[in-house]
Amino acid sequence: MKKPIQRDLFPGALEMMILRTLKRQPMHGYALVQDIKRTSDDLLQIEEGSLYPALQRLLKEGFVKAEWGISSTNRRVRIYKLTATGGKHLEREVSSFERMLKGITQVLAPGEL
Amino acid sequence: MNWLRQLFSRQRLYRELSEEIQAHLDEKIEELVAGGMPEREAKQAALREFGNIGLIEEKSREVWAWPLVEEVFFDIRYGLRTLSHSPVFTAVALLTIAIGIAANAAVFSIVNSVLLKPLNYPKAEELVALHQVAPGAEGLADFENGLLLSPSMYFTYADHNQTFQSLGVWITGTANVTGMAEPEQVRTVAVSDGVLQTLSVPPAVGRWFSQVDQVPNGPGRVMLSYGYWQRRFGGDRRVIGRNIMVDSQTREIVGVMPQGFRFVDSDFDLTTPLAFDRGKAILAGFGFHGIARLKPGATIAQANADLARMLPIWMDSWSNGPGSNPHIYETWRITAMIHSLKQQVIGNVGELLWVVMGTIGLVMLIACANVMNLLLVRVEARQQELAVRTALGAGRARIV
Repeated sequence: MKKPIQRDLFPGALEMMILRTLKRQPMHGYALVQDIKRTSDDLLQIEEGSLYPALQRLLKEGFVKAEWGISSTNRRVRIYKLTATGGKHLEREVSSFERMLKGITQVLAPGEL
Repeated sequence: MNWLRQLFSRQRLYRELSEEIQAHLDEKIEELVAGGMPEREAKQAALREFGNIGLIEEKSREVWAWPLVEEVFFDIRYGLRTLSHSPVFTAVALLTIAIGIAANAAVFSIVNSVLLKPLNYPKAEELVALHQVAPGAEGLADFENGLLLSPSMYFTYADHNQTFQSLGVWITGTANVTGMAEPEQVRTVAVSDGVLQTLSVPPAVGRWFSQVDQVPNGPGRVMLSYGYWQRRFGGDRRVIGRNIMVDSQTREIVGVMPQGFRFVDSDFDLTTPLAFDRGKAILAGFGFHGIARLKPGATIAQANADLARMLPIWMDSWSNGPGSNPHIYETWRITAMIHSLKQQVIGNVGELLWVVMGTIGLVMLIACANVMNLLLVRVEARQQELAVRTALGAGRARIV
């Protein structure tokens, strides 16, 4: 069981990070989760498995596509790739996320209390 | 057709997902082992970091599933399981509903065949019953049949009408057939010229009556129904030309009507020509059903007007014998009220049938109410189970 404090990324956050990571280069699930963990300096504790439902959602929406391929460790894996619509979706999400973040930061910013 | 392909490819999708997750775990373990961890520990660590595999697979599958459909499906499965725990209750409830449904189906099949299916004649929408009413003729005209036609009316209408392709009159009766194996009383329909032409159903064997057969005291002719033909003659096609004795009169068989043919609403065994004697016809003798086929485009209103126009001609052309006043019928206030043949056949039965249908529907409701009561009693007993399900997170809708 995980401690609740590590949980709860807001909805869509994981998807956004997946799309962003895939934008750099196509990769398979395991590599993807390691990459996200590494890039976030392990600040984000992502349950590795939670990646898969998110990937399925993205597949269904057509934001990514998957092809079977061989990984660097010589395994048959599904390699995910960002699609054009996925790219557009990412841009939209990121800009709306930034607006939201800005709003939250402004509210939280130390001011006259 | 995307969703269809999706439906069929789902199994493959799920397999691939499991494979992918397994590969993920293998890779993780391999990496941990390479980092110097014992394999057993590595396995546990990989699983720990991955999370609940079953739940994750389910969540991944849910993405592709139709949650609503599958929820309903699981509810049904749950319901069946509950029912199988109490076979007696299930049997009673099923039986109650089954009887209700069966009664409904039975009545509806009658309603369907009587009310909703068209008559079994070519271009049946052109067929009309020559219905007339005579409010001034107490006793002679009844509510159901109105004032039937007399032979002289038939002659007048046949000669002078402008709205019908053909028309004729007919009457049902019985006759004794003798001279064969054993005497038999059969149902007959006697027809004037024009009835068969109006109904337009060709004979299965032989020919219709023609005008020659309608000559009074002419050669006796008879046609058979399909059923009678099968029953008495074994469907032998050589019956045409044979003679049978009908009410002690020799009649030659000229044709057989096809299976299922009826005269409007009358089943019959034999049909004979009426062979009216024009010379002996008088005004009276209102005993015959009239049937006609409208000219294409003619309406029932036009036909009613046509009949109204011909009634004076009828009174002027015939009499009831010397010294009688043919215009006495003006006091009867004879009025044409032609129906479509379908309406004539169904008549009041239609309303009656709808009432029956409604009653049976009510029976069905009562059956349902009974089952409902049984269910209520059981819900009372299932309080505990329901409480547990609620606690486990079942939504209100799913419990109901």
